[in-house]
Amino acid sequence: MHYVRVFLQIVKYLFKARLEYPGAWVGGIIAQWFSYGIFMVMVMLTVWNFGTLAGWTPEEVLFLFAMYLLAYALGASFTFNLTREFRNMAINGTMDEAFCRPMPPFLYLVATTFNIGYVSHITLSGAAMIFSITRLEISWGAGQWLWLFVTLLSGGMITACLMLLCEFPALRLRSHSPLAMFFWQGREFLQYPLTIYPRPLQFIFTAILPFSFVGFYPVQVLLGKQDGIFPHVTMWLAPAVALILAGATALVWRFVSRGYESAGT
Amino acid sequence: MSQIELKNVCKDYKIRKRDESRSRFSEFFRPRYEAKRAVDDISFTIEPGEMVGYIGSNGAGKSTTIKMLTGILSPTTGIVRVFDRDPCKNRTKNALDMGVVFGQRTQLLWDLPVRDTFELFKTMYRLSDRDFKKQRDMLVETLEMESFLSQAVRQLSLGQRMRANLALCFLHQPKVVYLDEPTIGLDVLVKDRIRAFLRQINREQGTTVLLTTHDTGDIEEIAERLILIDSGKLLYDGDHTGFLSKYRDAGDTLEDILKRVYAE
Amino acid sequence: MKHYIKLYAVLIAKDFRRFATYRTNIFAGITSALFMLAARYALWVTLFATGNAGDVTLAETMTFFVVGDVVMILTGGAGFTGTSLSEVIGADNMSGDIALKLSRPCSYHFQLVAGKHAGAIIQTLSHSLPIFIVAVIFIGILPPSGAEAFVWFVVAAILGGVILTLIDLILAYSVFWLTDFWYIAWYKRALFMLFGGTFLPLWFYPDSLRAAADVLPFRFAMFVPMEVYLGRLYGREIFVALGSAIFWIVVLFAVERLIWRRVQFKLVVQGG
Repeated sequence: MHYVRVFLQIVKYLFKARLEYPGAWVGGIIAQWFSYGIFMVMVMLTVWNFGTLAGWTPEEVLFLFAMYLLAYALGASFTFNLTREFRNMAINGTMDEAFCRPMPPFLYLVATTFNIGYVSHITLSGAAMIFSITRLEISWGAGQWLWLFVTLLSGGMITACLMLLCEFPALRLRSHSPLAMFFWQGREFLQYPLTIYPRPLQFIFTAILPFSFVGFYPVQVLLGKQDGIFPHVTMWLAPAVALILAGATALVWRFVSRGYESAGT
Repeated sequence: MSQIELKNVCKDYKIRKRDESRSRFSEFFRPRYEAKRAVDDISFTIEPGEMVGYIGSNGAGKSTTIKMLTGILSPTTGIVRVFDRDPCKNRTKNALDMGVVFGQRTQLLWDLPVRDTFELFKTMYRLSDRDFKKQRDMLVETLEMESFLSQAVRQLSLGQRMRANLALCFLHQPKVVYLDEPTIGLDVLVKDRIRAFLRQINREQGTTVLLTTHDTGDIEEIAERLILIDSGKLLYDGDHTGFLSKYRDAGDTLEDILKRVYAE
Repeated sequence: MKHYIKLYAVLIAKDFRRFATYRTNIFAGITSALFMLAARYALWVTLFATGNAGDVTLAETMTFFVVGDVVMILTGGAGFTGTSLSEVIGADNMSGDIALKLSRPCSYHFQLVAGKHAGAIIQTLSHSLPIFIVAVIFIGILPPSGAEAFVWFVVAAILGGVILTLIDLILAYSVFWLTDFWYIAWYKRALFMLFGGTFLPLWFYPDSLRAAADVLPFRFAMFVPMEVYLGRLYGREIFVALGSAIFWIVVLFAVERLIWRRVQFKLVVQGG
């Protein structure tokens, strides 16, 4: 509880610092609304032109995209700035500072690099989600809403963990992580239903780089779809995948920080 | 039992042997290292309330020792104990009892007033309103910070920033404070103020101070005890007069002595 | 003139050397480019499987993207990942280097455009070319519809590159009035996506949006040259298109000069 308070206070100050330059902040938010908004319109338009995409209507595709973007924003808020710092961290002393604070170093690093700029993604994808849900004219019970909420969190977690796992090498190498590409290119595939890709790619994005648990599988549950090469139970696994990845990330962080302890500068 | 205890401490760095002809993938998966000894069999103890000057040339192993005391680095061999705890294993507990300043590196929130960083540290270090207010007011007064407390950190001069850094480090009334070159790059007036402040807080709150420095003024005015290391090895540990009688030739200033000792 | 060519050559050589020292960059660039091609191909194969594509074929669409990508990058350095002039000018403005660069014995605009083209050539080699080769082998890219069409395609691509660069410049000048600049490239990319057909070829657009795109200059960068290449524009239509491209160049150039005058005034008055 104490750490949550510290975390919130740090974020509050980051917010305050950001508002010192309101023009830059608002300019960035509008640019992202504009850019992502147009991208969503283009995706809708593309699918609308052809009727469906692998059996998904334009509204369904929009819902999937909104889910993917919202989960990404939730996760990346915590990890984007942090992973960008990784390669400089050992040199500029950020790591040392984190190790001297009366809280877990990882928590301190995540809090001090929290990115409040994702407000734009969150508002836009939230709006797109509401729009597509109303257009889809579906009536959900409490169970579905709960599932939506849980899978948004697990999607954010999966995004954050995959980003960290792919970027951790940068901490050691002090330059670009050679794995980073897999995260940043991989996530581009998940804007569309997984089933448009050939089977090997479907396998990779389920079993190796489990991006499809961010949007595709949870949305399958919500929209009552059952296609794909994996058994149907797969679509229920997103929360479990998130937990497993969180565990793996924690282990790797332990390894990385032990390494820092013994290697130093 | 002493507050700080080092017993036969060695620290080896693994230096990455970079080979431009190898690809980054093989550099990543099969890195090559060579060992470099930064601290070589050092033992000493420090009692509560001591003011210790930790001196040595650049690269002698001073910062490495401080990083081991703060729990950033673990020793390769030997035992480091602070408050009778292993600083690497009890990092959070340790952090509540210690303060640290690394040179000119700032821990202040860059775009916000100094005041806000104080508030943040109050929460982080779990200080009660009363303790916080009392200590903050004392620090602000002694370090003469009133005039720039509401200014954004990015607009402060180096001297102001350094004073704010010091104040932050003492805010939670730590038992031990490690200062890595706290007066580097500062003008004479600010240096004097900082030295006076350190003596005062040591006297009033009994804070143990371990500082590394190259400034002979710091050594003469603050450090009651000197520990000298060179190339990772301990050369001298004792009081001021002992140091002078061991190393001084007729007519030498402290600076002459240091020059000669570092050169050897 | 000779002096300028020499300078351009030096810039390219410098960029190339910088790029070649990071061999893993090349590897990463090629891999990610191929990833993008795979994703795009899968998308369009699935879309065409619905059978609602009208008179357009899958091969035409993939040719549109693959060759169009080469055109956009080679003429304007403006691939999806390419840097925008807003980033260059913004960085120069923030760091104050702009004063230094303005005082050099060759124009600032030449330095900008030459630098951008040097980057464009590197990017073509590392990004577009691998995509092109893989696409030719595995997907099948259509050749130009004829020798004459190819010639006009080259002309259209060059005019389109000029338009692209002018738009890039005009948008980039906003850095002098803004506190931050990283997001200007986002606007540019979004505008070309919406009105230039870089994401969805304009022939799939609904009428109202197509009409808007037709009266704006963004389509000349990629869509128009590709229509010429594919033979979807021919005869008199080509000349109408090229004529309006020239018209837009004149208009945009005038706008660009006008704003640049304001920028110079601002730089002089405020001292950079």
